[in-house]
Amino acid sequence: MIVNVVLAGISLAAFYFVLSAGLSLVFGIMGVLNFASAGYFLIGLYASWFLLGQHSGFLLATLGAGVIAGVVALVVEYGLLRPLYRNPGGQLLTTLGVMLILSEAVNWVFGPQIQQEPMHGVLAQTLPIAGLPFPVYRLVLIGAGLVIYGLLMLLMRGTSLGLKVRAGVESQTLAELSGIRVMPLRSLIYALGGVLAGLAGALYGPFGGVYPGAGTDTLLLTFIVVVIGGLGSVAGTLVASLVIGLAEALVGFFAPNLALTVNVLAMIIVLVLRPQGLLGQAPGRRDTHAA
Amino acid sequence: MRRSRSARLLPLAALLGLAFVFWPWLGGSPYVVNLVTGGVIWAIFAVSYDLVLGWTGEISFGHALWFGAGVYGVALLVQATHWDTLLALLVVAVATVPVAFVVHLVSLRLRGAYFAMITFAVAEFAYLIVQNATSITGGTNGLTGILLSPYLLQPNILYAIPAALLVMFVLGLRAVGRSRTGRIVHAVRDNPTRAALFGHNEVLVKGVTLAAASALAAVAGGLYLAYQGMAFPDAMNSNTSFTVLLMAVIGGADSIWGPAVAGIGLYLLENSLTATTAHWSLWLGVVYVLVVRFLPLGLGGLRSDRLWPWRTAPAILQGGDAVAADQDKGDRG
Repeated sequence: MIVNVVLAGISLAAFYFVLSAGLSLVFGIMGVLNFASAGYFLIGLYASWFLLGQHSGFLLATLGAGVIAGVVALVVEYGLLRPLYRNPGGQLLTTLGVMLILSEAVNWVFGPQIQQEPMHGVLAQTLPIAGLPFPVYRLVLIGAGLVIYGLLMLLMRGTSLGLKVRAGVESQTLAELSGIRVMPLRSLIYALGGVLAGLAGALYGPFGGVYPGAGTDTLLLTFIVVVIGGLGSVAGTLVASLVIGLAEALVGFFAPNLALTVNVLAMIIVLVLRPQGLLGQAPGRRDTHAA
Repeated sequence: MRRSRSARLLPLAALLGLAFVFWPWLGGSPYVVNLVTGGVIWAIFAVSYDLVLGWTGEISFGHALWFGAGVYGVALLVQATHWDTLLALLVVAVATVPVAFVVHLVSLRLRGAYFAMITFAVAEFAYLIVQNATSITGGTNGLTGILLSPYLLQPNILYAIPAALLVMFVLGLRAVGRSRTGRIVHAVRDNPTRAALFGHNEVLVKGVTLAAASALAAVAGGLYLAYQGMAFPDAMNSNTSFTVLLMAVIGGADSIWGPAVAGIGLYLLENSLTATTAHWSLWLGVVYVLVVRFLPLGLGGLRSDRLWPWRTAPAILQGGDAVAADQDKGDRG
């Protein structure tokens, strides 16, 4: 029994990781809290639902969803965020607008009703684990989370591109002085954030449902994870995802209504006591000026 | 020069204000009066958000918390004491000030996106509590059958009270904005370090401003309860926070009358348009994004440069060197 709950928690954690990694990276390099991520999530969710309906197969639908969401994000970055480059407040407000526009656009095109995700074959089956049936799809989630974590770490730690991104996160000014062109990096990371949000959307459909409110429903959880993990830190996002996923599964097992409340409270406490998160470095504390 | 001009305009302004409050008695249909009442209440809410974004230069994603505090505060107080609704509203608004001040003292330890996030988290936390504390708040079923004062059942009076308050708030806040106090608030917003050197504590000044903004939002919430006759958790969810932010930005942060006009206008548009075009929020979002991009001072900015040349956009909306310097400060940390 407890094995199943823990496994369910880990699978949730894998999903939260994919959901939040992009947001965390984008904040790290751009300093922008990307509300629009919830919109790209929604694009991915509906894109994969549509592709699955065309019998594309699960893998192709998921990857396609990521690509489509990434392209939308790239367009938004180029057309709306780049002109506000020196204006973080304006960028923050713009991403909120993009989220609202994308949510309403999806609502317009596909309607407000909950769609059934067409799942076939082994993905719709359950496996007996510790004597209880466990959905195969949740194991797929864990696998997807691990693969995406591995690829992200490889990108950030093993390539020169990742090195430049990390330099940009550390200090944009210093990176530029060292000859790194940060602007294209910002676009690239923003698009990558869109891809990750889109993948998360595709992964969400089979267990969360396909409906226009899904983006805003998961937004709060994304914020909780990135805050606890530390904005800008991929490893921190993974740790925080595990904490939140397990907490939700365990608390939810005993008191279903309390899970989210407990997580939000954890977020507030971390923000107040350690705004840089568990593993993050970005300073969020206001300089206090004594009068 | 300015003084003499505003003195000349005073009778006209007074006449306009009176007309704005009392027009229903000149023959407005109850339906229209009722519709405009909703718009006026949202205008008060939008004006209160203007203090957040325009005066402190901070972006809050949780302003609905204080609107909800007004809705539920008045509902629970009236339910418990059977007081006059407006008296309960006054008590709740006054009680909001110290609570909001303490909450914002904590939130103001953080800046920029982190401040935005903690306001969002605190409001969501309160929303979850209200949803789950079924025995007190009725949960998602809300609180119905609130015993409102009988005079509030007359549409004209139900309109005139928020309308008079809106006029009062707009005129009062404009006066405060131009006073020494207002200059200090703006100085702190534009350059906290320099203001600190002149002895103005950033957290204290912003905390007081945000507490005032929260109390105003609570007034709007209490009036909204009187308008609806019931309290629902939706009043304090993130959508409400987003809507008021959109109204204030489109109206123009730091122009008090801009958000007031935008609040009424957008509410009326929404409620007359949703019948014909179902995708109101899509167009609202598009207009909002364009305003952020091309008109950072919103509707209010269309005139304010000419009329009040000393006034500038909050650095957070304007970008430029102040913000770049702030970013570099972050880099050093």
